[in-house]
Amino acid sequence: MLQDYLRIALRNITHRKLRSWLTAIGIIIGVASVVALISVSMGMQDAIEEQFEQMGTDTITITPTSFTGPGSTAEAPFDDGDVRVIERIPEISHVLPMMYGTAKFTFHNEDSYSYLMGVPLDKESNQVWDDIGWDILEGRFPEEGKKEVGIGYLAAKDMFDDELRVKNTLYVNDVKFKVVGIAREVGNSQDDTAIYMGVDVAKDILEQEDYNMIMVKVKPGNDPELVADKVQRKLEKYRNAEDFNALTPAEILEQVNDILGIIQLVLVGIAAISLLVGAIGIMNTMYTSVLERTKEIGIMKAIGASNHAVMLIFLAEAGILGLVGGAVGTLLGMIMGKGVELAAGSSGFIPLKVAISWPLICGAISFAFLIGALSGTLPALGAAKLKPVDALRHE
Amino acid sequence: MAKAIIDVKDVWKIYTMGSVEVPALRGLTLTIKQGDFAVIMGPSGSGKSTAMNCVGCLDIPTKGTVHLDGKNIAKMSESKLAQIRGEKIGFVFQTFNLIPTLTAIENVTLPMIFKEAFVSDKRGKAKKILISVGLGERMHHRPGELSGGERQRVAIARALANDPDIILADEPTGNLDSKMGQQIMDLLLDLHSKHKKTLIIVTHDPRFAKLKGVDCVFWLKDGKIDKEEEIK
Repeated sequence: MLQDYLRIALRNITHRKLRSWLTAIGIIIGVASVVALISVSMGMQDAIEEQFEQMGTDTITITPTSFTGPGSTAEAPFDDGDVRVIERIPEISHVLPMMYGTAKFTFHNEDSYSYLMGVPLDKESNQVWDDIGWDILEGRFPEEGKKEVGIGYLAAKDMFDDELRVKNTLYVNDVKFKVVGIAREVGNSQDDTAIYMGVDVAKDILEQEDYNMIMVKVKPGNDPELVADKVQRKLEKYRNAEDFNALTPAEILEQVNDILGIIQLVLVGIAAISLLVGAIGIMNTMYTSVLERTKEIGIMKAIGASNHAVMLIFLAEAGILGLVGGAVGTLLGMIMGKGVELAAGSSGFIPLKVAISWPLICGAISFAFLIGALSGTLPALGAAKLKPVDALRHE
Repeated sequence: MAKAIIDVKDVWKIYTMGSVEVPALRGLTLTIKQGDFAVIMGPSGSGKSTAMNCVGCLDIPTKGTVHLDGKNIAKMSESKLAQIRGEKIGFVFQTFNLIPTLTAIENVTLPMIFKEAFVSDKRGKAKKILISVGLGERMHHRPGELSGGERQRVAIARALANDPDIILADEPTGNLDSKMGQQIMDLLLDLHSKHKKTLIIVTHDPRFAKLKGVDCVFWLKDGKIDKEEEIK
């Protein structure tokens, strides 16, 4: 019986092809944008998580509370006193104070400004770099105290007209340096476009004494989160200020995910508005359809159709419109997401893998079906309530 | 004597148009016996359409009772009425009233789909009926591709789908030329005489009253029976 109703509904839809497609397009656009946004932002989340996983679980990052991203000129808040305080904490095996800033680089008489990172490069530190996946592709790590630099993967390729190679001479803020290593691609543009040197050398070049950030390696067998709390307490006491955060990668990830979640919610919310417009489109089409087919409704009732049957036929029609819109929209959304993935990949931004999962696909399609059926409810009720005599008289 | 299949007693139907009450039926009383061929005759405005609606369970009277097969329809719910229409009455309309998006065979299947009880092999039954009304060749055409006479045959086939006791025809030849009209009338008379269906024709055309086989004629005027003729 239900399949007969579906067949009747399908006939009505295919009979008015153009209008049915136009109605479905409303849903298609809405579903496509929701699916694209969800898959891209979920893919972004995955990519970020992967980045954090590389950092390992036994490191703690200490950063100032005020935002000091790459290229920012905010003050570097940590000094050697802070470093000593942290070093005295017994659960900590190694402290890596780091500084960064923008510097002028000159190669073959061509100037370029980029991001300079001063990092500790003693044997123990190098082991930490190795652990978190920061690796040399060609050459070796620079040595502390020497005028040597390591070049990020993208910096070597793109910073100057000529590609930078090991043994090239590079001037940093007009001081002569030797390129000793090219880093392996890390996957995020921030690290891949930076230039690295020993933190002691960087002090002179950047003309600053203080550190922008401190990384800490926790001794095996300790809970990094507890150690992070301890670092936070000790340093707070020493500095007499709460102007920094000591966080484990997991904690940072949590914070990033919180922010990402809000962004995701806002974007999907906006996309959902277009879905709402699509739903109104279905409702409008269904009202028109009921009006146009009033006489048919009368005929069906005259030959025995109950209110229930009439309602089901119209509900099925609205549901099918939603379903088709949902299916095509999901497909389109997946293609759009894939497009973003390709664009992100070619721009050298974080390598993004859009997350297209079966729950997302099934969820989107069944949600669209539900929206269609819901939008059709009022018109279908209207159709069902028509009196057979009145409907039959309708021309 | 055969029992009464339709028994209408003192039926009033009053329409309200704005604040004015317009009575379309004013105490209509008529009885049609099982297996009869009855003609309800009347000029336009005499209330014959309203009478047909009440007899055909399409509408319920404002006042009075309509008994169909002994049951009072005035007290029934719309879904119950729909069920009765689908199973007991086959409608044939002047304007055919087929669903334009469905093919002939699908139109004939429709009443079986709407029937509460499950009907097996709907298409097979529809096919048989269409062949019996002479439309075996054109059952997969849509109404728009059929002639007027063919459409009315589809409508008759549809009326027969659930094997009802009563065929209720409203000006069945009104939109057909005389030759087609004659064929349709022959078909209807055939159903009456061979299959013992109660046949009720509602019309303004006095020629129907003179047809062979008519059992009784009700002449309607101003919403009630003006004259009742029983033909032996």
